[in-house]
Amino acid sequence: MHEILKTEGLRKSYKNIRALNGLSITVRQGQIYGLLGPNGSGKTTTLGILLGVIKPDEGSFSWFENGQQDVNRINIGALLETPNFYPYLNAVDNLKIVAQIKSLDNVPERIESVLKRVDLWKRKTANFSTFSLGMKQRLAIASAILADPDVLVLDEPTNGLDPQGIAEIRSLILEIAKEGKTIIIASHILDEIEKMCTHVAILKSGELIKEGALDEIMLQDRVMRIGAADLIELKRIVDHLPHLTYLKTDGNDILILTDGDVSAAEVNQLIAENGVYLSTLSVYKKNLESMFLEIINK
Amino acid sequence: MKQLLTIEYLKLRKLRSLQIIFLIYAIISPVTIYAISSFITNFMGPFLPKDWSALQFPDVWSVAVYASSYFNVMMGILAVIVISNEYSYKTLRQHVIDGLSIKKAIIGKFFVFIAFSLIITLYTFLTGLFFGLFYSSGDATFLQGIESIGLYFIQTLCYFSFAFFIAVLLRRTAVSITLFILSFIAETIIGLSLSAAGYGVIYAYMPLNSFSKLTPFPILKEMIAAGQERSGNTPVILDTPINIAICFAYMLLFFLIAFFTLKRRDL
Repeated sequence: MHEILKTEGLRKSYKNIRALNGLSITVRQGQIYGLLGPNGSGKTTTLGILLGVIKPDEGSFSWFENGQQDVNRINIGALLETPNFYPYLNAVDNLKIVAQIKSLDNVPERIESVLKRVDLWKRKTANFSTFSLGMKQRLAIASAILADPDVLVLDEPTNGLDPQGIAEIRSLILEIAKEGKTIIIASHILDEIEKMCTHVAILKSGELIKEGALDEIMLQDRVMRIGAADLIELKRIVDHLPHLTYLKTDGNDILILTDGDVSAAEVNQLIAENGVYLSTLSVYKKNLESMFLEIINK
Repeated sequence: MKQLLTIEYLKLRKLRSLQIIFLIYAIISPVTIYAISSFITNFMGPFLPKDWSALQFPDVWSVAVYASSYFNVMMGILAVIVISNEYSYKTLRQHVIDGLSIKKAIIGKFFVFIAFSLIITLYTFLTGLFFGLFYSSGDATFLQGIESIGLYFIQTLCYFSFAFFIAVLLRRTAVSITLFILSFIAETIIGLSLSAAGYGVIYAYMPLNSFSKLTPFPILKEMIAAGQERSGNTPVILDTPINIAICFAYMLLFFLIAFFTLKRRDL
């Protein structure tokens, strides 16, 4: 897969506050890449640098293996923080400006297509200032996809949307991803990242804590759910086995933490060798939220 | 160039403050030209040179540009609004995100100011031409003294560059407009204090004074001569070519500072 974005050692400070501390990430073609982190972790600063509106103190980045040239951004559709349009212009006029900046052809057709796609066609002549927050967000997404770019960069794309709007935007993003586009999403909404992303980078206080495929990250430090007729005996055995750690009792089962090298079959064998036969054994894939909190609170 | 002009046209064509300011200019500018010409004719008779007639060629040009120059502050405020809107709506930031370079964004604004300057200069020319054709009875043609119109064009661009500089530096509309207006008052106070202390030459080289001297009061030379006779004081007035060079230098300086400020600063 082609390298779409590569950053190396990005650093940025605001007075005495270090917003970004040597961030190095790589995003490849077709990935839905989530930038995850609590408020103030450096997500927006990262995207600001990548989109040319924040100057890094150190480090470099390259889009499409073509350096930091302004022209790279023509092929990127982006929404950073809030939707930014002229309040006294309507949706069509605002999109015409974007089309001019990106030197697009077939402008009326493109505008009609994207406005229909985000369900704003009926409000095409209404001024941006009259739009609700959700409509503004949808116009920003329409603007981001106007040029049919190879990459979408979305900062908190479902901000201000109602549950139906969130679902629509999610399905729109997934639909776009199916077209082979690369999507970079920054969010602190873990559910959003978990439902959409294939890869994540977790940031904390400007530092990269973890990066990789979402499934791999969530399976690291695996948790298993095991059950047996004699739960007390099972717990006693787990406590004595070197590669297993008892976590908690959950109904008729217990949750155990295994180190990365022990497979489910080996767990079954280890416990059987100690005279207890498992009635339940399943790999308990942690949700992103518990994994995230675990990493962030380390 | 066409791309940048189209972008700016799309942005500005529905901007209400622009429409209002241009409308005010279009209505009041001819009235001001007529009022100033009447004032000079009726109240400054002793200073008037022989054959001088405010609304006839060639004198109408100097009256027209002097009267119109009063609206440069208003036009400067319009420039401040146009620039600071880009900050308050965060649209400059969005344009850069969309792929526009800072250099292109600034060149686009420069084109806007050239277009504004051309429009108001053309309007002043047409107004002067109208008065001149209506009131002239002598042999002078409309081409005589028309260089004042060229100087007025340069002057408007200079004020726009200053407004651009202030707006880029301060970013907030209200603060920028306030400082833009205050800088005229501040420079006048400083300049007059320097002149009183015998450093009038410094005042002559100060930016806003240099700009205003491109379109001086129509009978300034006669008034200076009369004042000199009475008090012995001679204000420092630079030769027009030197003044033009100074104005161009300031214009370039203001645009360059604005450019490098935008280049260095986070949006």
